[in-house]
This record gives sequence, structure tokens and C-alpha cells, in this order.
Amino acid sequence: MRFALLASVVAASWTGTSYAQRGILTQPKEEPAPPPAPVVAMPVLIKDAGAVYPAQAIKDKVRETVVVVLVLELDARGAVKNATVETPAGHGFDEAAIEAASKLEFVPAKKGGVPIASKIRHKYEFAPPASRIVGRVATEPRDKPLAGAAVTVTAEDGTAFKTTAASDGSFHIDGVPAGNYKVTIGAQGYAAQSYEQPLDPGEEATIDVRLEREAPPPPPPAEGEDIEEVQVHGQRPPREVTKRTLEQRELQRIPGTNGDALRAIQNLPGVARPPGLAGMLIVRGAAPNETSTYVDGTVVPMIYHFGGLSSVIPTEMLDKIDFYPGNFSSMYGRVTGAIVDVGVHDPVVKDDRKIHGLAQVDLIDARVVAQGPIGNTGWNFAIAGRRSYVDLWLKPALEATGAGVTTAPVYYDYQAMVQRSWDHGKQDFRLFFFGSDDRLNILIKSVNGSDPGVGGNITFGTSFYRLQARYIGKFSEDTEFRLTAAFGKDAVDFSIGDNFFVVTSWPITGRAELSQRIAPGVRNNFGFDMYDAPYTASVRMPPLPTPGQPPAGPFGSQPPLQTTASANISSPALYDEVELTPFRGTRIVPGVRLDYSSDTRAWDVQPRLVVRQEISSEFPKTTLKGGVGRFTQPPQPQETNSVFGIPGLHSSVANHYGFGIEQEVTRQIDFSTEAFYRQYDQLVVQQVGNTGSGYAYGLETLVRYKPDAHFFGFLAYTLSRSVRRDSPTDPERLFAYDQTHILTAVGSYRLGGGWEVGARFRLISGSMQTPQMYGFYDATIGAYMPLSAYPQNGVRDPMFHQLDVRIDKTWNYSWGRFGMYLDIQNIYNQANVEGISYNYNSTLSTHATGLPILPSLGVRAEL
Amino acid sequence: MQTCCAPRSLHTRTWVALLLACFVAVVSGACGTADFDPQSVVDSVRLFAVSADKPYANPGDTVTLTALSTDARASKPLPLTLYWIPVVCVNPPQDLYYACFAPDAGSGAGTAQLIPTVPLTDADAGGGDATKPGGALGQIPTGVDVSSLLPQGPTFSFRMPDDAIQSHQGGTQYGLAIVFNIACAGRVRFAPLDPSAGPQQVPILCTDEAGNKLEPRDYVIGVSRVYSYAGQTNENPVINGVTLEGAPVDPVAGITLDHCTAAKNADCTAVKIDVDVPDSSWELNPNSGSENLHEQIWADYYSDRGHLENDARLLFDTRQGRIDDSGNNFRPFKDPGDGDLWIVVHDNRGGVAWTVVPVHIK
Repeated sequence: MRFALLASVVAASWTGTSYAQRGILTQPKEEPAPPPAPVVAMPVLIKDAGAVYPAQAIKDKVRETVVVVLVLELDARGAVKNATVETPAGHGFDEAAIEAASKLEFVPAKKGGVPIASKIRHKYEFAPPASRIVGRVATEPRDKPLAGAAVTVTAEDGTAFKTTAASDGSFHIDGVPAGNYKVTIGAQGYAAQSYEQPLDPGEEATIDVRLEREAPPPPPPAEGEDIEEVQVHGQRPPREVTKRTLEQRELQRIPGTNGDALRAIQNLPGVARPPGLAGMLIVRGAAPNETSTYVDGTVVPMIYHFGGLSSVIPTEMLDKIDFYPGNFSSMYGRVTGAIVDVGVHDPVVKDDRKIHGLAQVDLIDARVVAQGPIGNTGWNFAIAGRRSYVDLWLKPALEATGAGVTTAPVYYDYQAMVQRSWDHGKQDFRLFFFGSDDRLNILIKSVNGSDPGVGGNITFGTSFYRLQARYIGKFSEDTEFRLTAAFGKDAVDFSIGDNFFVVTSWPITGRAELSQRIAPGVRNNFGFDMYDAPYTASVRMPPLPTPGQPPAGPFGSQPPLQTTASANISSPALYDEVELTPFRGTRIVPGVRLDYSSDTRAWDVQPRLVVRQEISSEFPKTTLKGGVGRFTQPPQPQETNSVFGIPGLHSSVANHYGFGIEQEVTRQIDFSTEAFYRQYDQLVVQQVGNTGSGYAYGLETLVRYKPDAHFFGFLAYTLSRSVRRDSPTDPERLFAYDQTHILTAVGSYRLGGGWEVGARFRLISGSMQTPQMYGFYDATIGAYMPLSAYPQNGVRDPMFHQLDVRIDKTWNYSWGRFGMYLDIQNIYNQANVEGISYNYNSTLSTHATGLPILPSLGVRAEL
Repeated sequence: MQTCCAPRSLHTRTWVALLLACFVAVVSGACGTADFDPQSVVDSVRLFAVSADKPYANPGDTVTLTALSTDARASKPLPLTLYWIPVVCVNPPQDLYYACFAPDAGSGAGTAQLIPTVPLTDADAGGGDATKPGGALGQIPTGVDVSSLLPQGPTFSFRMPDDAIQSHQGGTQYGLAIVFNIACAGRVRFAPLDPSAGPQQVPILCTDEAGNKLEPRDYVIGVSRVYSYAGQTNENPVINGVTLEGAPVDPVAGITLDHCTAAKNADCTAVKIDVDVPDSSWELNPNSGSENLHEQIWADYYSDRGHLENDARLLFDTRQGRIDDSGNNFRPFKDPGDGDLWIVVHDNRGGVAWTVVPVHIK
């Protein structure tokens, strides 16, 4: 600590009279003959050990410089006889100053050469002890030291302290005054990370950071190369230093997914296995329509092509996948289940500034991607497309069954993007056009005798496209504005016999968010989220079944209902979320969301809170996390339609509760677990009203070995239960999407020479079934109508287990890279039960089994 | 039959997606299938169809129902009798046929209207017992043999109520009359309802003389629907005849074929059977609005003397009209004998017609 000696002042130099009156100076008795006035000499400080910065002040986090003025009484020898504080400062400063003053030594004041007692002022200035920042910079996820990484610590007044990481990744910055700082750590080719760091006097803050690759990867890296990655976050917030991630290598190499990143989501904790080939996301026991999917903040109607064969955005264009199984941010709404937000990366421009591309072909589809700069315009582009050729083999198969095929099942998707950054990357604009189309048209001539309505001409088509514009402006270190707007078209065209369902909508969506740091440790995010969709619908279908109620007869036996509507769905929302970091390692995020729905004509207020607390900030890091919130979902149009549903419904409500822990075990192994509970109310029961309720609870656990040079893998286990009730008088029943145990083990090992082998094993509780028995015969239509057991979902299929294996081989050439893979699903050909198959009158039954062993071979070239 | 991917209670979008996924899975052989006898193989008591002389009846019309049934059991301890439940159930809630048996049925608004067609004077009325079927059905005592009280035979007539046409879901105006019958090789009794069981229960039993419930091969409980729309009519399809390999079949002489000598049914020689339905039967569906869709017409096939390749074949599609290759392959059994081929033609508005062709396997 530093202290300073204030120029001492002899009393006479103030006012001799006053000192005399108060006896501050002791003067010799007067002599009869007035001699010349004696010379008065000031006391001179000769020894000062200094004052110790008080511990109380450190404890009280006093960050300002404090001055304590003492009045010292010195004797004729120069010793301090007494010291008093002129203006108390508290926090231990007064005591520290007095203690220091007692050890001061002076040459005494003199008058006429004679030492005399004196009284002086003495000042101690207490500056807060300097702080220190130390830490280590490494690569994520391999924890490789990142030498040369730039570390900048910026004070609120703009004062900056800079250093670079040493060869072992370590760094330190000394002499940093106490205060609030923004620490920014970056390195060439890696995404910089910034976060706020309060520093108390004398504190040594340790910051260990792992930086992730800045740009999305060129596809599967050759052995020994750096690994690019797509992130799948188990939960918000991405502003945290550590994240749960799955690398692109993992996403592309998980067996059984054909390298499809979005299908890899189905391996994460909390995600159930969809029945059969259904491409559905079932999260924490919720229905698929209770999970919403976004592409960079723009909601899309579907994420998978039919049958779940492939996702609608190719993995190569993905930057990250934010997956929120529950307790999601206030920026998301309109569903009570979960959120998947697929982030698409900007066009990748490599150092050679040439256009690069890749092509991949397998038994299901083929896709191409090209991206690079548009000359020297500053603009970059990416373009991609995919088409299936299921029709090539399925059309003959269908025709062999006697079906006439006009359009065999086919799907395609397309993406095009232009993007530019300016103002040193502080501003960014991007246009992204993407879409998807699935369709088939067949004529079933062999009518199913048990359900004659399912026959004849069947058409099925789903398509959507979006033109999305995104602007990001970082106006200052404290202020960021993000605007994403999109418009497009959704279309469903389905017909079977004389029933049809044709709906076309033109959704306009927008999200504007202002993120403003308003005080140290306080950042506010305010946003407007709009969904507006004019639509036309022409529907002719049998009445939709009421849950828990056996049907009135085979499909098509009831007079169909018919409606033609042209209306508008309008759902504006406002949200506000505050990120509080009052202490290091603590993050509290309260928020509220207000959703309006034109269907309910009401506002839904949804308060939410997420808390994260680091118990240990050093490796191995331990973090506790928890959340509670209210989530609402407006009824769907068919539920409020005056023909098919009931007008005047309310939004259904789910309250989410979650608590968990994240623990680093080793540098490579993370462990996390979370318990959740959901309570559902006001669930819409078709044709009845908001009479449903339910709950779901469970425990999700993930042990993950992060990819290193040879291996990656994870073990995910979910224990859960999902229960619904259609009305207070109905019995509880297990929900159709209840799966008690979900165990997934994934591992992949690089053998060398471009070879990599991996396996995925799944052990999952069977799906729920409602047994049926011999009942009635519909003599008008000619089909038996079984009796359904009550309550429904009373039995469960046997346990599902399956082993998938994947083998990759990659060759590197001067022009690029070439690879092949063999992805074998169900390698031991387990006859897993997907349901119950009955004979025509339900007197006999057997288990219907799923996919047999299914190999898929693919090739891939990257230029 | 429920397939491996049968949808449950899903919202429309999911339902549609799942249906297609199921379809893709099924046609691509993704799901295992069971080797059950198909619906077309007849070896038990069967009720094939019930036709109404007026599939769309006007209020006040007398409607006559005619049933087609058979008894193909190898052993017949008791003969087959076709019984009719003498109560017409009109406009049950949500058109649910099993709501006709609900304890409160017939007791007021929002429930089925139950109209007795014959007096049930010998019945021991059990009114007020919630375990009994409701309304007029509740007057029938449970557990006792009521066979003698029930109309018997292939036909049954009733009068469509004058006020049958009512508003249904979505404001649709129509009337629905549901009639139950039972093809029973035994005695008919009514069963009490279980209050703790679900809404779908079977209150009609086919029993032996001692009251023991018989097996499904001994009985079929039929549900027949007759609709009434203001100003709309529907005609039953017309069957001009049956062809064998393109040649007309004499409806009296029937079909004579050699028995199959192959080891596997699939290796037996198949003959092409088709049914001739004129274009005039393909009526316009006035309820399809601007789509101007026609009826869908298909033929169900049954036989006790051979295997049919398909249980049913499409004859007319709602949009594409007549199907050119609508025939069905028939493979005779390995054992000689005489039997029948039943061909029942349905349209999707309740129209039914049938023909029965004798089959002789040499």
C-alpha cells in the first residue's frame, strides 16, 4: 500500500492566535527584554513504516481511494504522543492510520533551535490493493494450450490491460485496480469470448477459457487435424464460459443417423425414440406438437422429411443446434414442451478465398454444398440442395403390390445465402432462402378389408420455404441489436379417398431483440416476437377423435366434416429477460414473456427464472443449475375451428421445474444430471375443451467423453414418466409418448490410416399400446370394429434394443478429400416390437416388428 | 387391423405425417407382418353385410334392412340364427354406436334417442339400474335368454323418425339411425354394463343353452347405419354380374375349378375373378362441395372354398373413376368340395349390394 506525508503545518502558520489560545504550541516564558523573534522549525518525518490496508475494507469491497487525516501531537523528542482522526472514514481505515501513526518518528519542531512539542496534521491515503488476473487459454474441446491468445481486460473508463497467453496457454495481468472489467479472450481462427469480471481489492481472479473454432468446419476432419464442431447445447445460456457440446464429428459419425446432425438430437438425454419411422421429436414425454423447431430464430413447420429419413437442413450448413428440453428462455414461446433452434452458419470463406464445395451420395439421397466469396465485393455466398431417390426403389416396390404410382415418394430441400459484414464485423447482414418439399401420389387398388376407407387415391405433400433476413448490430460494447425477419409459405396437401386436408399459410415472423448492459453485472434483453400467418384451409375429414375415446367406426365410416376457411393467426409477443451476475460464478436470469393469441384473444403472462451457480470455478468445475417457469401454448386452429373443434378455448399451460448439476470429471469427461418436473393444466381435449391435465417427471444423466485425437463417446440415460388425464373425472393414463428408460451409448474410435469405427447401442422402454379385442362388425362398410381396452395405453411393448455400427474411410488428395461410409442399423437384426398386429377381427394378435438389419452406403467428396 | 405404426390420439399434422410414415414403412416392408388368415377366408359364423333399401332415407320412410350371413363352421352344435335388436338408436352423441348402450342413453338431450320397434312386454324391466343399457334397451333384462323376444331372419324394418335430421358436429344436418343385429349360433342374452369399464362395452351376448358365452367363431354382432339427409338420396350399387377370366359367370351354375395340388397356396393356379358394376353406380357425392367428388366403390371378397389374393379391390376411385384392373385372383383349396364366393360391393355412402357365386372344387 501506498501512503503520503502531508506537508506539516505549524500552528502559527494557520493562525498564531488560535493556536495560542488553544495551547497548541508550548512557548518559553517571556523575558523582560524582548529579544528578536525566535525561528520556528517544522518537525521533520524521519521514519514511517506505512499503514496497512485494512482487512475490513477488503471485506467490505471498498474500491475507492480513501484519505484519512490525523492530527498528531508530538513531544519535544519528535515522538507521537497522541493521534486523533479528523474525519473518520470507517472500514478500518481510521484504526489502520492511527496504528501506523503511532510508529512515526520525527525530528521535533524547534523554536530558536530548541526542540519543542508540536501539533501537526498528517494524512494517510489508502489506495485499494491492486488485483491480478491469471488463467489459461485452451482449445475447446481438446483442451490444447492456445499460445498467443490475446487477453484484454478493459475497465469501465476504457483503460485496457493486455497480455498474450504463453506457450502453455497461461497468462497473467498484474496491477489491475479493483473494479468491473470486461475480459475478452480471442485467438486467430477462434471465436472470442467476452464476459464481465468484477475484481475486488487484492483479489486474484482465475479464468480458464476454452475457445471454440470460429468458422464452421469443413466436413469430417482428417486424422490429426483440428476439429470443427457444431454445438448442441443442453441448455441456455450460451453466454456461459462452458457449454455442453457435441462436435460435428460426433454429429456426423453417430451410427444410425447417416451423418444427419438433427437426427443426432434424438440421442440426447430426455429425447424419446419415436415409434417406427416417424420423424418426430418427443422430449420429456411431451407430444411432438409441444416442441417447436426454429431455423435461426424463425419457426419452421417441420424439421424432418417424411419418415424421419433425413432433416430439412443439411449438416454441412449447421453452425449450432440449441436444444432446450425445458425451462427455455423467455425469447421462446407458444409451446409447452421444448425448443430446437438450428443455427445456420455464415458462408465459409477459406484462406485461399476460393469457392469450395462437397457432394455426398448415399442410398437415400444426394446433396451438394458450395460456398465462398463473391469476388471482392465483400459479400459471401452459400448454396446447397438435396434430393432423395427413394422413388427409384420404392416406386417399383409399390407397383409390385398393385398400387398405381403417379408420384413416388420424393423429397428435396434447398438453401441459398448471401452475407456480408462491415464495420470490422460489428455489423452483419444476411439473407437466407431455404425450403423443403415432400410429396407422393399413389392409387391403392387393393383396399384394406379391415379399413376400406384407407384406399384409393392418396396424395401427400408438405412443403415450406422461408426468405429470412438477419441483421446484427453491435453498437457498443454494451449494446447489441438483433433483428430477424422472415416470410414464406407453408403448405400441406393431403387427400385420401374423398377426404382431403389442404392448408396453405403465408407466415410472417419477426424477432427484434435489444441487449443492453445497464450496470455492472446486469444485462437486459428486451424483445418483440411476432408470428402472423394468413391462411386458407379446405378440409374434408371425419371428425377428429377425442382422446381416450374409441372411434365411431373405421376411417371414413362417419360423414366427413367439411370446412373452408380463410383467416389469420396472429400471435405477437413481448419478452424481457435480465441477466444478473452479482457474484463471480453466479448467474440469475429472471424473465417474463407475454404472448397474445388471436385464437384465444387473450394475453398469456409467463414468468420464468433460471439460476446457475458455480460451486467450483476451477477445474474440475462444478455447477448447480435450476429453473422454474410457466409456459403456455395456444390451441391449434383445428381445435378452435367451429366445425372440427370448439371456439373459445384457452391456452394450455405447463409449469416447468428443474434442478441439476454439471461436473467436470476429467479434462475429457463431463458429467451432468438434471431432475425435472412438469405440470400440465388446461390441456385441450378435442371436442371437449380445456379439461385435460397431466404431469411428467424424470431424471436425465449424461456422461460424455469429449472428442480427442482418437475417441469420442457418451452415455445418456433418462428415467421418466408422463401421465395425462382427459378430464377430472377420467382416470389417469400413461401418455402415449411415455418411455420409462432411455439409454443410449455412443462411441467412435479412429484407428488410423483414415479409418474410423463407431457404434451406438440403445436400450429403451417400449411404446405404449392399447390392446384391442373382438367386438362389433360394421355391416354397412364391411369391417370389424374392435373393442379397445380401457383406459388406453395400458400395456407397453417389450424393451427396444438395437446396435448400430458405422465404418468410415477417408482419403486425402491434393484436390481435396474423398470418403466412404457404411452405416449399418440393427446389426444383430433384432426384431424390435413397434406395435401389435391383429387379425381382421382382433381375435389373434402378434407383435409387429421394426426395421431389420439395414445397411446404408455413402460416398462423399470435398473440394 | 392395427399396423405397427397405427396412429393414436394425435393432432392432424402429426396424424398425417405418421400415417404417411406408417405407409412408407409398411409398403417398404419395414414392419413385420403376421401370417394370419385373411378376412376373405370364411370358416366361422360370418355376417358379411347389411344393406338398406334406402341407404339415404327420408324422415318418415320405412327402411328395410337385409343381412347376408353364413355359417361355415366345421362343427355346428347350435344352428345359426340372425337376431335383430328391436330398438333403433337415433343420433347417438358423436355418432358413437356404443353410446347407444350408455346407461343414460335415451334419457334426454345429448343422448341417443332409442326407439323400440316391438313391445318388450315380457321383459323384466330393470329401470334405474345403472349397470344396464340405457333407455329402451334398459328394459331388457340382463342375463336371461331373450332370443324369443327378438325379431329373427334376414330382414328387419323400421321407420326413420320424422325428426331424425338434426344438427351434428360442425352444424352438419343429418340423421343417423343405428340398428344392431347378431348372427348367433346360440341364444342371445343381454349383459350388464361394468361401471368401472370404459365407454365401449358389449352388452349383447351369444351364449349356449346354459348361458355360457360362445367363442367369436360362433357369433358376430352387427352395426348398421342408415343416414337421412334433406333432399339427398343414394342408390345401392348395381352388380351386373361376375366374370371369370373375363367371361361371364352363370350365377346359378357358379364356378367349377380343379383343386390345388401344389404344396403351397401361393403356387396354386389362380383365376381372375371380377365383378361388373356399371358406371351409373358411381354417383356424384353432393356433400363434396366444389370438389365434385364421386363415390368410392369397392368390392369385398369372401370364400370358403379358396384363397383370394386381396380381401377387397377398388372398383371406382373418388377422383380417378373406374379402375381398369379391379379383378381379384382366386386360388382353390387343395380339398375338393362345394362352397361359395361372396362378393359384396360397397360405396362409401352406405350403399351395399352383393352376389353369391357357387364354387365347386373338383
